[in-house]
Amino acid sequence: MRSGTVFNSLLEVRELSWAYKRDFALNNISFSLYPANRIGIIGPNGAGKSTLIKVLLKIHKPPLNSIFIKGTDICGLTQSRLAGYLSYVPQIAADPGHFSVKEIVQMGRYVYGHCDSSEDKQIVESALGALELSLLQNRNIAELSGGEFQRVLLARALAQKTEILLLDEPTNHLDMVQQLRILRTLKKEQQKRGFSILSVFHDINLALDFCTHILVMKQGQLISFSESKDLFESEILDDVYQLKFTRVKDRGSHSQYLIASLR
Amino acid sequence: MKRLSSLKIIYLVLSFGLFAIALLSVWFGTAEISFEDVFKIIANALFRTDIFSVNHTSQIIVLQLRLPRMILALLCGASLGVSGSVLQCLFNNPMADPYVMGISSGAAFGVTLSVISGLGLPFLVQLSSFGGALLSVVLVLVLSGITGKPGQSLVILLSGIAVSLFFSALTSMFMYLNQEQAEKIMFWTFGSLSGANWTKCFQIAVFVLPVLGLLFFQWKTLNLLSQGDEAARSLGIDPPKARLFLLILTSLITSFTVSVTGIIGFVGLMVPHILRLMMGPNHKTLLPLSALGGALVLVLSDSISRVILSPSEIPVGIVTSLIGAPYLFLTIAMKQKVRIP
Repeated sequence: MRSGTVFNSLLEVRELSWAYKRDFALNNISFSLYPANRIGIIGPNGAGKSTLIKVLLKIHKPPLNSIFIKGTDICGLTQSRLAGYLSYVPQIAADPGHFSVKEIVQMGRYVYGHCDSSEDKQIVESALGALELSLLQNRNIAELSGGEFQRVLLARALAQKTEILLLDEPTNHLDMVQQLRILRTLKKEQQKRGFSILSVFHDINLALDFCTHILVMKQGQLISFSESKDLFESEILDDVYQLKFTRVKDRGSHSQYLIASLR
Repeated sequence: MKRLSSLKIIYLVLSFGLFAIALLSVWFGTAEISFEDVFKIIANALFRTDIFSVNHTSQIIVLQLRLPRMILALLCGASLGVSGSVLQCLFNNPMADPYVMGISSGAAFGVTLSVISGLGLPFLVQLSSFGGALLSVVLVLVLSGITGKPGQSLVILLSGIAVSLFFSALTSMFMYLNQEQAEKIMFWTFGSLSGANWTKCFQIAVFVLPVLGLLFFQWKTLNLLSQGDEAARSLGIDPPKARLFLLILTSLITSFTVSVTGIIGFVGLMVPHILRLMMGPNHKTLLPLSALGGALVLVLSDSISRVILSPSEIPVGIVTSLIGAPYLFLTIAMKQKVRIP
C-alpha cells in the first residue's frame, strides 16, 4: 500500500530518469502535482523541461514505476486513457491543415468517442467562448495569427476537460499583450474549472507571476521545487542561470520582478 | 453555416452526377440499345417480371455485361478514392495514392506471381495481391525512414515512386520470361474493367465494402494524425499503431481492387485532392465524398474507355492515367509556383 498522500496527488513523479542515447535528459526527478496547483517549470536551455512534458505524455516512453496519475502508473494506461487525464498545448504545432477553428476545438472531444452530442457541443462552445474565439469559429485556421492559433490550441485542450493541463511555453511567439491576455484567461479558467496546470516557461517573471509553485531544472536535474513567493527571495536562480538577478517590488501594484544582468 | 450548406450541395451534385453517369454508362456501348429499352430491362430485372418485352440479346448485354461492369467500376472507384484520401493523410502528402505510393504495383506483382505459379487455389490471387501490397508498403516505409526523416513528404513520394518502378520492372520481367502468360498478366498492368461479371462484383462487395465502412469510422483518428504525432498522442491515439492499422486496411482494399481490375492509377490521387481543396480536410466528410467522387470518376472513365475508339475499347487504366498524369503535373507546377506558358 502506498501512503495516503499518493492518492491525494493528481500526478506523482517518482525518481524519474530518462536517457536520450545514453545522455541523461532527466535525472532522478521527483515531485507531485495536487489539485488546483499551477506548477511552472523553468531552467536554462537543455534543462530537460520539454523532455519532462514529453515523457509525461508518453511521446517519449516513460520508465516503469516513475509516473503515477491518481495512483496508477501511466505505463499501464493506454494513450486514450491518458488523454482522459492529461491535455496538452504543444509549443510548435505541425501544419494542421485547413481545418476550421471549431473543427480543431472539437478534436478535444474525440477521446470520448463522440463529438456531436449536445454535451459536446456545449463544451466546445464554452471553450470557444472562454478564449474569445466564438466569432472566429468557422474561420480556416491557416488564416489565423500566431496568437489566435495559440488560443485555438488552448481551447482544444480545455474542451478535452482533463484534470491536468500541460503546456510547453504557452506564450512563445506571442507579443506582450497576447502573453498577458492568454495567461489571464488561463488563470481564470483554471480557477473556474479547478484543473491543475503544469507548464514550461521561458520567461521567469511570467512564471513567478502565474504559478503557485515552480520547478527549477538544470541539465536534467531538479534543482528546487518551491512556492513561487519563496523562490523569488532565494538565491537559487542566480546559481542556476549564472546571472545576477536584481529583485524589484512595486509597492503600489504589489508586482515583483527579477531583472537579470550578466555577472 | 456556409460550409454546411455547400457540403449538402456537393453531396447532391456528386450523387446525382454519379446516378446520371451510371445510367449513361449502361446506355452507351457498341451495341445500340435504346434508352427506353435499358429502363425496361432494368425494371424487368428489378421486379422479376416480363411485363416489358425486350430483345433477348439486349437483355443479356445490359444485365450480364454493362450493369455488372458499371457496378464494378462504382465499387472500385469508391475503394480507390477512399484509399487515396487515407494515404494522403497517413503520408502527410497531397499527392499520395495507391498507384504513386507503389501499393498497386506491389499488388499487381503479387497477382503476377500467383498467375505464373499456375496454382488454381481459391483466393490465391487476392492473397498474393495483398502480400505484394504489404511488401511495397513496408519497402516505402523503410526507404523513406532510411533516406530521410519520416514524414518528409518528398522523400516518401520518391520512395513510393522507386518502389512502384521496382515492382513494375519485376512484373515486366516475369511477363517476358513467361510469354505464354504475358497477355494474362498484361491485363493487370493496364487496369481494365472489361472482365466484369456479377461474381467479381460480389467478391469486391463482400471484401471491400466492410473495410470501407471500417475506414469511414476512422475519421477521427485520421483528423488527429493530421495534427502531428505529439498533438495526436495528447488527444488520445497512438500514432504508429493507428498508422499501421490504417495502412493494412488500405492495402487490403487496394490489393483486392487490383486483383480484380489491375492497376488503375490517379483516381485515388485526383479525387481526394480536389475534394480536400473544395471542402476542407475533415475526414468525416472527406471519406464519404471521396468514395462518391472516386466512383463517379471511374464510371465516367470507363464509359470514355468504351466509346472513344468504338467499336474497340481501351483499358480504363490508360484513360485515368491520361487524365491523371497531366493533373499531377499541374499540381506540382502550381505548388512550385511555376508559370505555365
